[in-house]
Amino acid sequence: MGKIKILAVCGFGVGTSLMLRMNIERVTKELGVDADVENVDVTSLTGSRADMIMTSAELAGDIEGKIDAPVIVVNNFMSLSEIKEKIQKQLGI
Amino acid sequence: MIKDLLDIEKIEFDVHAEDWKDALRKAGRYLVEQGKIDQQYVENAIDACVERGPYIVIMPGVAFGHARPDESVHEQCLHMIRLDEPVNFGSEYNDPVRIVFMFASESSGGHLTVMRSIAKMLVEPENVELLINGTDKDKIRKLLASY
Repeated sequence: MGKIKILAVCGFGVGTSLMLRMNIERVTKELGVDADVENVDVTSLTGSRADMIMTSAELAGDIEGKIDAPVIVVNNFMSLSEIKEKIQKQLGI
Repeated sequence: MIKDLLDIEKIEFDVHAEDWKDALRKAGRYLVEQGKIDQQYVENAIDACVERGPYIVIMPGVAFGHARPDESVHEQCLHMIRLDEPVNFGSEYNDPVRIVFMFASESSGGHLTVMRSIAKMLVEPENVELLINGTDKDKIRKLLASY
C-alpha cells in the first residue's frame, strides 16, 4: 500500500479537526500506515483529493457529494480505539 | 503545554447553564471580560452549531467551542468551565456535556502545540473521568498543568 491521504474535517479547520488529525496521525503511525493527514474546513473541501475523510456525524452529510472519497464518521474524536478500528475497516487491514 | 494558553487558576467549576447556548456564553464570558475576544466570537461559535449541528461536542461529556478566526479575536485564548448540571447539545453520541472549552485563534496555525497537549490529555479515559466527575478541584488543576 502506498502513501494514503486522510482529511480530518470540521467546521472551521482550526479546532476539533486539528485534534482529530493528531489522533489519526497517532493511529496510522501505530498501524504502520504511511499517511498524509490534513485538517480542513468543510467549505474548502471541493476539489480536494483524498483516500479517506474522517469527520463528525453532524458534518458527514455536508461532505458527501463534495468529494469523491469515503466519508467515515468518528463519534468520539478522542477515542484512539474507535479511530483505529474505522481506519482498519476502511483499509481492510 | 496547555497552561501556555489556559489560565488554570481561572477555570470555573459549578457554573450553571440554562441550555447549551448559555453554556457556550458562560465559557466565553471570562475571555470577553479579558478583552481577548468580542462577544461576537461566542455568538459565531453558537451560530456554527445551529447551522451545522453540535459537532463541537468532540467526545462524551466535552464540548470544544470555537469559531472561525476573524476580527472578533484579539488574542489567541482558551478557557474551561465545568457545569453544575450537564446540558444537552443535541449530540446523539456525546450528550450530556459538563466540560465546556472556549477556544479562539487569530490564525489557523500557531496553536498546534497546545492543541496537541489537549488531545494527549483527552485520549486518556481516566483524565476525562477526573475532569468531568472529579471532586478534588486541585487534582483537576494539576492534571491540566501536567500536559
